[in-house]
Amino acid sequence: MSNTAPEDRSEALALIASGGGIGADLRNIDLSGADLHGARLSGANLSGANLSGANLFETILDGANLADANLTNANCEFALLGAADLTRANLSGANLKRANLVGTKGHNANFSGANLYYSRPGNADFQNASFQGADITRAIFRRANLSGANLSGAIGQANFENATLDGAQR
Amino acid sequence: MIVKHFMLNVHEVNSFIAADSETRDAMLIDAGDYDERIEQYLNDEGLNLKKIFITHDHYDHTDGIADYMKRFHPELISGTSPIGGCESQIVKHGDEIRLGRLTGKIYSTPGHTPVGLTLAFLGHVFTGDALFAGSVGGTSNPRDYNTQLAAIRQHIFTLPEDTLVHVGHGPSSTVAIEKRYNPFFV
Repeated sequence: MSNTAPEDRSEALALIASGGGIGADLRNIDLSGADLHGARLSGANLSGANLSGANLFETILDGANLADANLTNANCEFALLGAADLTRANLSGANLKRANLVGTKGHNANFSGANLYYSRPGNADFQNASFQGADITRAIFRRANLSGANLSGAIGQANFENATLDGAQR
Repeated sequence: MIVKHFMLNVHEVNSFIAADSETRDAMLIDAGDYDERIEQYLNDEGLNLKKIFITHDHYDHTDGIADYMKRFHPELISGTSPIGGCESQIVKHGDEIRLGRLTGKIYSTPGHTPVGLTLAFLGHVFTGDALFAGSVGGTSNPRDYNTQLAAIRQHIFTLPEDTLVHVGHGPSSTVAIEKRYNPFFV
């Protein structure tokens, strides 16, 4: 785990490129549009970070703190976001195709217009999250908590086996 | 260790190249189809395909074997022989596979198929269709289902928690995530 927080974008990118992203303190950092594909950021603190438009293809973010992060239009295909904290994160328009969202926490997260094709949000906690207009084709919400979630306008057939949908809008 | 993922067209199945970054010895894990991107990657990275490892005998994991054998002449390793129309060296639970300086260990994870193998290196485990992110591979009866879950608990969930779990279909995961959140286990 890194103890020194990078002071700016270039330091942060250098830290990640050197393999020092695991557990790194990257709070509020601006990584918008950055190419972080395949990087390992397990357990990193990216709360409040700007990752809009970033390339997170196959990026490993298990257990990362992404609360209040901006991931609008980010490419998160095949990203490993299991057990991450996406509370209030903005993922509108993001590409989450085949993303691992197992056990992810995302109260009030915004997935509106995102593509969640064949993603794996099993056992995720997405209370009051918005999936308005999202593509949820083949997404596997098995045992996920979608209480109060907004699924209006979401397209495609998803698997909601044993999911909690109390108060969800469909 | 180098690990490179390829999603193939057939059933969106995954293939992986695992390699020793120093010796450049490489292994293809599952071969659902011949894919030019894999050959290109091997060439671009200067990797020598020495071995093919097959997790289980389903066509979406085996149909490309003959093409890779013809082009690269690697050693074919699996739990059954012949497989994909080719003779294979049979390995079983507890066996080790050398790849350059790396050593992988074989675990028996049947259920999805009567013979199913998982291959573990330090930090990476390749499960085929035994375990998926948030799911498990399909089985045809309760006995096979129970056998599969028991094998996963015994052999995969006992690996270090930060081990990356590379699966036959869909995204990779970690041992910790699957132990704590996979709905089939918790």
